[in-house]
Amino acid sequence: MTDPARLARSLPGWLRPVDAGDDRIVLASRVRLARSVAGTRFRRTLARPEQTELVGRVLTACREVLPWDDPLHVQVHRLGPANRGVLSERQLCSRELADAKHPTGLHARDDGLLAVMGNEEDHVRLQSLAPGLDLTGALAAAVDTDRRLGGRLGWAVHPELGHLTACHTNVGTGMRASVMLHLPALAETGELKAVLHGAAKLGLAVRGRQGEGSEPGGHVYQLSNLRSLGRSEDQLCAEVADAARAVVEAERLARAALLSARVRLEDKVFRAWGVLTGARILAGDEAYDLLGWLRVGRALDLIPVPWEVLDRLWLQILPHHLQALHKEAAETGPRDRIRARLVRDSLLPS
Amino acid sequence: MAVICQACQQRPALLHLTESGADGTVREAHLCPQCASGLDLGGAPPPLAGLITGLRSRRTVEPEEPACPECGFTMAQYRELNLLGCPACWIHLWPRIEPLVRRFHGAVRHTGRTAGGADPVRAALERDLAAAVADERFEEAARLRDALRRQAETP
Repeated sequence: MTDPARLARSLPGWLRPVDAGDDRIVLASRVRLARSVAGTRFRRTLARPEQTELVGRVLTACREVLPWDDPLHVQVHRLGPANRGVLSERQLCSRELADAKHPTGLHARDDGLLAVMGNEEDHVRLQSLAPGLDLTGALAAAVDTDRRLGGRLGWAVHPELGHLTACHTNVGTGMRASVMLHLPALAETGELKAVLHGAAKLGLAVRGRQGEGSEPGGHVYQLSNLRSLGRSEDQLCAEVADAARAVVEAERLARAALLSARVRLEDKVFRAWGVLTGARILAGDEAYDLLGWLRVGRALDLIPVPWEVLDRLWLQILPHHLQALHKEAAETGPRDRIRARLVRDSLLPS
Repeated sequence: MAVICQACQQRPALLHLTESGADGTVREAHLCPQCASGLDLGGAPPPLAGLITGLRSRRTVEPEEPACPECGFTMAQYRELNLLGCPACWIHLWPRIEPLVRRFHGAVRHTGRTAGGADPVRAALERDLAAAVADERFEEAARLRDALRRQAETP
């Protein structure tokens, strides 16, 4: 699958409810492993032809040892900006890889749950996503991919330090386990800061939707381990999952508190519905926030919109997805009008 | 959190000196064993402020900025970019990297998986072991020998 418009229309495997009662506070779980190829310099000391050769080696190994049907297999730096943006908006690759000027490669499974990035900060970064809170499942899939790929490429591993990475903050397991959380009610009740501060005190990192350095958009946050050495992958995943459960419980309590003053919550949800179904111009941030409140309304059975419609919109209103689907959305003015029409048509199908 | 040596600004300070002034003020100096070993503490020690300045100025006269023999990367570059030059930097620059790793992770030993690992550092470890023995750096030699043994035992 290399057609970005086709990709933009599809729903990634991690963006779906895990069961009928899923309240979607946890959007997805992700395990990322940083790996270095033995005997190869890191990117900062690697000349561009050698980087091209490395990307080729990584992509070839992926084709040979990963048994994925119809994978997305691209040299990312050769794509146009909109297509690269689509990849990072749907979490198929990091923002750093999507923005890179140097040679980069991506080999991703059709459902978007597994992906291998070549020549990011490290030689290889492989990631595994799962819907809901399932770091154990995401880790198992990542470990399997790691074993296959490492058997072919040969990772740089030190007997005491484990996996050797370009930055000392990733050495050891090379792992970043993260849980993506949607926390609008905590933001509304004013408790969000204290809850996230508590997670940070446990030694966890709290980031925005797009990972490191990004601003929180639509009250979506990523909770992840900070340290990668001295604890096993399973321990680190358990620590992140425990913290995520505590945050989820806090969000549920905040939603219950809002629901006890029912009118206030209903007002948030139906005000969002009113704007989204009536607006003729919708900016990205505004649409994302309001759709977040529709999701809360759906979780509490206040509105009957199917999750699939809400999930699809949540991706398709993002600027690069919108451009991939509608060529004329390249500029902000038309884009905001196209976004408003897309949202209206999706929520009020004729 | 470990205190960093005031002289080299790199290694953890393990030696803590205090000086009481005639006016009742107390000055402190925190040094690592490597920098402290360069001091002549026999007889009356010099004032601490001068002592630290002396160590710093000696450092600028003889800049000790080791480079990785595999890729030429130096710690100065690492401090600037926060990225190393190659996997072998981890072996060759380890004494300089260790404090950073210890401070960030609170540990210096990996306890997780190593599937798919090749043997990229064994040759470097063996080379460093031979050099350590030749230079009679026996403590380091013992550490490297243990590392090689553990690596051999790793399935």
